[in-house]
Amino acid sequence: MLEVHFIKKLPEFTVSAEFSVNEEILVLSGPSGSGKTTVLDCLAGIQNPDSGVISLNGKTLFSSSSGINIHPSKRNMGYIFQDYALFQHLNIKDNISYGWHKPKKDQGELSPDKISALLKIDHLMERYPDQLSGGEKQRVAMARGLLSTPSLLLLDEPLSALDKSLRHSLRAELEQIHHNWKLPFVLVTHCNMEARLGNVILAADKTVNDRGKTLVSFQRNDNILESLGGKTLRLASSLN
Amino acid sequence: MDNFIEPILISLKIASLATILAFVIGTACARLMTRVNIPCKEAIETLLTLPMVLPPTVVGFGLLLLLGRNGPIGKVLAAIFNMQVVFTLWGAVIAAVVVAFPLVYINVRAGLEKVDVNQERAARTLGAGELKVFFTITLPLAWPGLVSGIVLAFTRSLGEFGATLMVAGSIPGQTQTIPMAVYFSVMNGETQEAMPLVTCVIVFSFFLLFWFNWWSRKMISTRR
Repeated sequence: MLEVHFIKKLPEFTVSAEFSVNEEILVLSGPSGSGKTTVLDCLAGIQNPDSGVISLNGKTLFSSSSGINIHPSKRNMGYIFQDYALFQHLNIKDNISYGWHKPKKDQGELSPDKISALLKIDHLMERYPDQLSGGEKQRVAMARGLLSTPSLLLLDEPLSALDKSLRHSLRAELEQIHHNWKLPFVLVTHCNMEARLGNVILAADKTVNDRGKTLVSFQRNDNILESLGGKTLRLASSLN
Repeated sequence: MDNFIEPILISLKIASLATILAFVIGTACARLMTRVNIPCKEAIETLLTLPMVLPPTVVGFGLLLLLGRNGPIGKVLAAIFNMQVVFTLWGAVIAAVVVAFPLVYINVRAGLEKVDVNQERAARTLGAGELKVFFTITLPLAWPGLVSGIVLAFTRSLGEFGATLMVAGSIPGQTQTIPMAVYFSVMNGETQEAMPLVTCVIVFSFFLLFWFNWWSRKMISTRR
């Protein structure tokens, strides 16, 4: 379980995040520039919150009061970047194997061969990221992230760069992966179609205090969530 | 024949050592300057690249002051290693490092600045520590800048004359490099002696530059 409780000051406004994630897909939704990616960056350890606590499965990753700040490489979180951030100088096989540790004995676990077959990228192994389409890059980024055997996957607008028909098939694949791996997702999006992937949707809540300072908060409060056909939804209306 | 081969070997030795040293120090400084916020960054940077615009004899003069028997660095070297660098091969190497360093620094820095931060971040989230990120992602992505730096530093070291003459002199068989040998042959009226050396340098430089231009064109066409 991921537990998040922090504040991060940005030049224009302050972001506050307060939520926990179990084996589910948690969506942070809000317009561009509402600090969604900043929240993901703080979880991954790429940016540091100004104060607060982040813990994953009981291990504290960040704590401003006790001065804990675990390096991104030790946080065990996969991060699918919006631009995929594939390594330009490496071919696809080397890209997806980058974070993979070959097990001593083959116990039928994850391997680059298996995952590339699963994500239908096995014919691309010798190519370079430059030579791939958007959908292919997205699949490679997923394969690379999953092979590092993360305890949680962070996804930044995973489908928004793709065309409509691809979006639908990849959306289904994401749900499949989430289901099969029992892997919690934290997904960030400004698009409603993508947000519908989520079991829980946290909409950016923008408030301006009496001193004129803007606070954007992503807060999970299960008491006031409305139940909608098994999925709990909080509608993204507060910002519009 | 001996005095034809000797200056070439000495030049190659000095230029190779100087290129390696300038590359390591230049890359470390470039990395530090792109990542760390230090006060007076601009002033430090100007100081580091100053040898590029100074007349080589001025650089040589400064080095003599620092490295000479009574210079601050000279004293330390003498006290700890019982070592005297002025008028030795190491003096020539130091002179070449100082003049070649700015070329490495500027090119590597430009290369590092072009590296996509997100790819480095992705590597970190995949479990790579800072050293692994630097050697497997940052350096390979900055490769074009590194190669320009290495090639320019090497050719600059090979051609170095003024500072080297001041610091290392022109001792045949010890510190007499190609440019020195050419200059002193002509000065002594032995123009014919200089011919093979001059031809050698022109042919070598032609092929190096030819390869470098071909390589840069290839890099530009493969990287979008």
